[in-house]
Amino acid sequence: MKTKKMEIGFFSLTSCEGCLFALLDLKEKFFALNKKVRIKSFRLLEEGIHMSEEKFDIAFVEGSPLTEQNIEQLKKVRKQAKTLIAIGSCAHIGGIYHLKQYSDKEKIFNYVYSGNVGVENFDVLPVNKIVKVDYFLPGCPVNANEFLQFIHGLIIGKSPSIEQNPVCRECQIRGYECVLQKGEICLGPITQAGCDAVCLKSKQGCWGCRGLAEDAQIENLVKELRKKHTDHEIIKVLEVFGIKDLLN
Amino acid sequence: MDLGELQKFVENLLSDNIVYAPMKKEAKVFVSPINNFAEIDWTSELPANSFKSVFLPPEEILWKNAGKKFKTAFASKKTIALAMNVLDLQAFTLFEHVFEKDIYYQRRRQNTFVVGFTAGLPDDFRKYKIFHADYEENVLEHLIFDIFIEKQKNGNFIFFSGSEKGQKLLEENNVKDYEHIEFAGLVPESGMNPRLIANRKAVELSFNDKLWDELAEICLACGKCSVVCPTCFCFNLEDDPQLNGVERKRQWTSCFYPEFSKICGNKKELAEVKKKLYFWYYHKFVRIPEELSYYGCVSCMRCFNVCPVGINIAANLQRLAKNQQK
Repeated sequence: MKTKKMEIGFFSLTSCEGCLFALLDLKEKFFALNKKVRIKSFRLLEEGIHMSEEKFDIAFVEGSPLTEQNIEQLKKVRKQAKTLIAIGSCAHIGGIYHLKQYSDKEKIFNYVYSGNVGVENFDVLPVNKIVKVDYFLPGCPVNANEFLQFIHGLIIGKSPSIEQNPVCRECQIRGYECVLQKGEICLGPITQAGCDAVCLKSKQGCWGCRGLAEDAQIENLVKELRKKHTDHEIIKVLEVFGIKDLLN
Repeated sequence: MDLGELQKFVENLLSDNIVYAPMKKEAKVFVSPINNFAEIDWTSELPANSFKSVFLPPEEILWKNAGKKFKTAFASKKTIALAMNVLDLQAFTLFEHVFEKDIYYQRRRQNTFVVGFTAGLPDDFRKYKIFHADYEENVLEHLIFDIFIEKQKNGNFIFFSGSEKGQKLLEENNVKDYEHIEFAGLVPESGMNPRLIANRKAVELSFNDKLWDELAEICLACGKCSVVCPTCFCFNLEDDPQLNGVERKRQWTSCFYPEFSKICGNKKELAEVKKKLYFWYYHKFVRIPEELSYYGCVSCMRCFNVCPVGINIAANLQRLAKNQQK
């Protein structure tokens, strides 16, 4: 029996579109998906903006819903898709824009834009605060190999999951220097792994772009960090990817 | 055998094998793939990482299938674990028993030569006397290896063989002057090491000891200790769907991670850090000695060296032993 190909679409809200680029970096591996699925929407591969009335089996959404148009598009995609998957930090936990929420957003707005330039100043919300999200693929950008694993699973009807380990596992396996032991701030012990500890490879402490790991020992990490850092310094790092919001 | 002859022997090995050996990098020694003799560190300093990944890679594909075809992915490259210290040999000896019936491990092992090395006792070995630490004369009889090299005080090297495979490799490389040592089992004739028995007692009934509550207040459950531990061998098996077919993967895991004890309905036996810590010690100091009469911990202190909050296994054992006597 010949089954119908699964129909999928990729949608970008406000973002750098780095996640979609990360997927295109898979090159032939990405296009090999065509054997099993039909890619019906992918802005970076099309000439015009795609806003048709089509249906999708899976919609992948990157970016944050920051404008009225974004919110409208997101709600529409949700209606069109059987399964909605939020990909990347912006869609998952709010992304870098979320920093705005930690200060006076009017003040920030006036600092960046002078006068009324027609830019909206919404609160920054992750995608699942607006629509129901079936799965998350975290990361800044998303890990393209993890995406492949995910979609291969969905094609055969497996409900996919990502491993629940902290970044320290991947860092220690690769033998990278522990920046926490060096006295720097690193959120590796409490952050969901799957990034191959790529920041630690360059001796850059983890800022938690993939969100909190299951059973993360946040209090113990903060206790340890307080020995060498002020609360201000710790909070600054916790705010980059909005980990601060996930602490309760 | 002098240094020049040793160099010749090692260079022969390097010519047609992948060789892993201790190597100095940024003031520390790491087990790394080696390209030439000069890279090898012969000081007997304990490497920061162990030889574990040579025998059990952090991630490996066990088999894959596409359609009706089914392919077992066996590693086949000839590999040499060179200049393995005695502690890592103990961990390896444990692995040889744990993975005795594991075809994937055994296939890799068939193509791997284990060459031990010592340049005498480490200066600070007495510091860790809470562990077994009996570097007595017949220690080699209870270790599994193919070849063992000992550096003598006069700078010369003497050779031992521990298997037929090792003997063959020595003969092929024109090393005629060696002594053969027959593996005499895990347990010495004199019986199980008293420290092993004492530590087992100290850990076994200690779950209510305050130590575990105190450690749970600082432990990050990052699992670095278990990743770096040469005797931690727990793994996950996962079937990874591909575009066509499926791959079965084996990956290291750890009792510090949530997936380790997860069952249906997202229930976890090891939900709290206290239980994770106790479970880790219990496996090393109670279950492994019980099952194999052998060490589940080889006192390398690597777990302490990598711990971001400085949890010291030797100090903890000492404390449990002391509390148990009360």
